[in-house]
Amino acid sequence: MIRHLSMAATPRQDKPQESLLEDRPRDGVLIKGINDHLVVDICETCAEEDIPEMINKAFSKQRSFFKNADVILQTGKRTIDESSYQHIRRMLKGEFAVRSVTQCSIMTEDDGVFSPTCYRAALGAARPRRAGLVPSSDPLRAEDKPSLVHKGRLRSGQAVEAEGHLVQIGDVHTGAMITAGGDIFVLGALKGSAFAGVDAGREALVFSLDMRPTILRIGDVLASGYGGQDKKMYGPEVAKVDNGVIVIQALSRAFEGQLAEFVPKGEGK
Amino acid sequence: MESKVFVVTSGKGGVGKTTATANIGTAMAMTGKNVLVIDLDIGLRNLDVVMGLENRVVFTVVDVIKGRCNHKKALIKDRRVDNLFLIPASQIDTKDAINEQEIRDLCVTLKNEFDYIFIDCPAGIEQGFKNAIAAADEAIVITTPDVSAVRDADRIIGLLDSESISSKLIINRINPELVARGDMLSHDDVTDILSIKLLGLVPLDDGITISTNRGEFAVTDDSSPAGRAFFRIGQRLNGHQDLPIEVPQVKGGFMKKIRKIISGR
Ligand SMILES: Nc1ncnc2c1ncn2[C@@H]1O[C@H](COP(=O)(O)OP(=O)(O)OP(=O)(O)O)[C@@H](O)[C@H]1O
Ligand SMILES: [Mg+2]
Repeated sequence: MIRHLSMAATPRQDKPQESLLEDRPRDGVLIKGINDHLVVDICETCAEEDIPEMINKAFSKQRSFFKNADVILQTGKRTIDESSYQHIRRMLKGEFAVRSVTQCSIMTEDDGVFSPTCYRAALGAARPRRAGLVPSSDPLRAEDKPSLVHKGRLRSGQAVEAEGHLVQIGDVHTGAMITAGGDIFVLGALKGSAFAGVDAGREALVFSLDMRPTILRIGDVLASGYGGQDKKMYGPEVAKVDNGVIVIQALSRAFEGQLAEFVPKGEGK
Repeated sequence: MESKVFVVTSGKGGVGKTTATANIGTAMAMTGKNVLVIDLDIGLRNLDVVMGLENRVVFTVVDVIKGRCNHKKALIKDRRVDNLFLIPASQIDTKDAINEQEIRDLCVTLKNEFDYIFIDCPAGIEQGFKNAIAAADEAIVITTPDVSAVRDADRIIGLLDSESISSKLIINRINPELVARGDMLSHDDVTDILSIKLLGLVPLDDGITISTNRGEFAVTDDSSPAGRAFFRIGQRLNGHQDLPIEVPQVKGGFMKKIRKIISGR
């Protein structure tokens, strides 16, 4: 845990983030395995209407291989619109029996929409709740900025923002928004949107006891598609950026070798 | 007993606030309490119509607040149910005609005369909403089992929370057939999402449309499933907190199944 915290406290990268996926495909799609997930890397320049067909082709080559896979669609600096995304999602689930599909993209300077301020404006005059914000003492400290512990359920339209790390005790409902300069720990279900690493960038992580965020952003990486109405509990999970995509892992897996036996067995997928 | 002000609110429009206000208010008056319902949907006056009292509206809540008449003048007494009174909204003003403090002051006076006051809140979260919750001791949040209505209810509950007003939930217009088919959120799904105390479940009921249009109360009609649900809600608010909540069931589901088996269809 300590090791991780010092990791999150690494100085902010002022230099432009180097392109993570240097070998991004120029055309077509590239499928690679990252951390138990299958990342479908989609070229940034090809026409959006060709994408489903491209994916279908790539998947058809090795049908059985994709069964039960957790697929991440990496769209790079473009976002594909919701209806194409849903179309692809249905295709992957229906034809290739993959288990889950999420979408991941990379934010650019002009994508102002998801900055915390704009997001809040979009939610309508919702002020972040200051009452009940208690600055936590060490050991949660990112870059000397105050970490916050917020107690209480966050409902649609409510927002909490921490300059350093954020510990949110209570569920975060769909439509609520939490933001932190560093890491976010939700002791509860995360169904709303979370933005970790406003300062720490891609080093930050998001932890939740029940991870089904509407939108997740870590540094400049944005992802969606985790939400599900299924009652199935996945247990404590951690979201991190790995090779330019956000991957979600069971806690025991994310911190392998650093946690004692208390983590229930069988959580590692 | 101390008198209490309930605000009936929802965020989303058209989910049944006015219907619920009229029927729950009536249900409580039927059990002998002194009940007042106030329409604060100023500019979109409805409650008087739903209660069949439209032709008796002379003074409105805005007149009372602006000192144009004494509040006693604006009270309309229902002739069918004893102890049931209405203060109607005005149709010509807007929500900004009054403010929170004026409502609080008014309710202090009215609380001396009534056991329960129900405030019919307008849709939305603007001034009209702020006025409606200003004097509330408790909130009754209405939603339908639609994702958008539930989301708005969540927002409303959050806003009420921050004013330290506790909320109880009514899920209205439940269609058991759609729920059984998995095409509508079940009441469990809704309470899971909102995590607040459930006050009652009201089925979708054509009888509501009919009684509303006639200006009659569904609660006084024993054959109306929604009316019965509202009556039980009234009892729950009236000290019988533990009265079990009935889950709307598919109509004639059992007989239908039997018939299916016999006819082989
Ligand atoms: N349980 C029910 N079954 C069938 N119809 C219903 C039920 N409840 C309400 N309705 C109908 O839904 C419509 C809207 O109801 P109502 O006017 O009470 O909603 P409201 O929340 O007060 O709306 P507004 O936001 O416009 O004030 C009405 O036509 C009413 O008859
Ligand atoms: Mg109404």
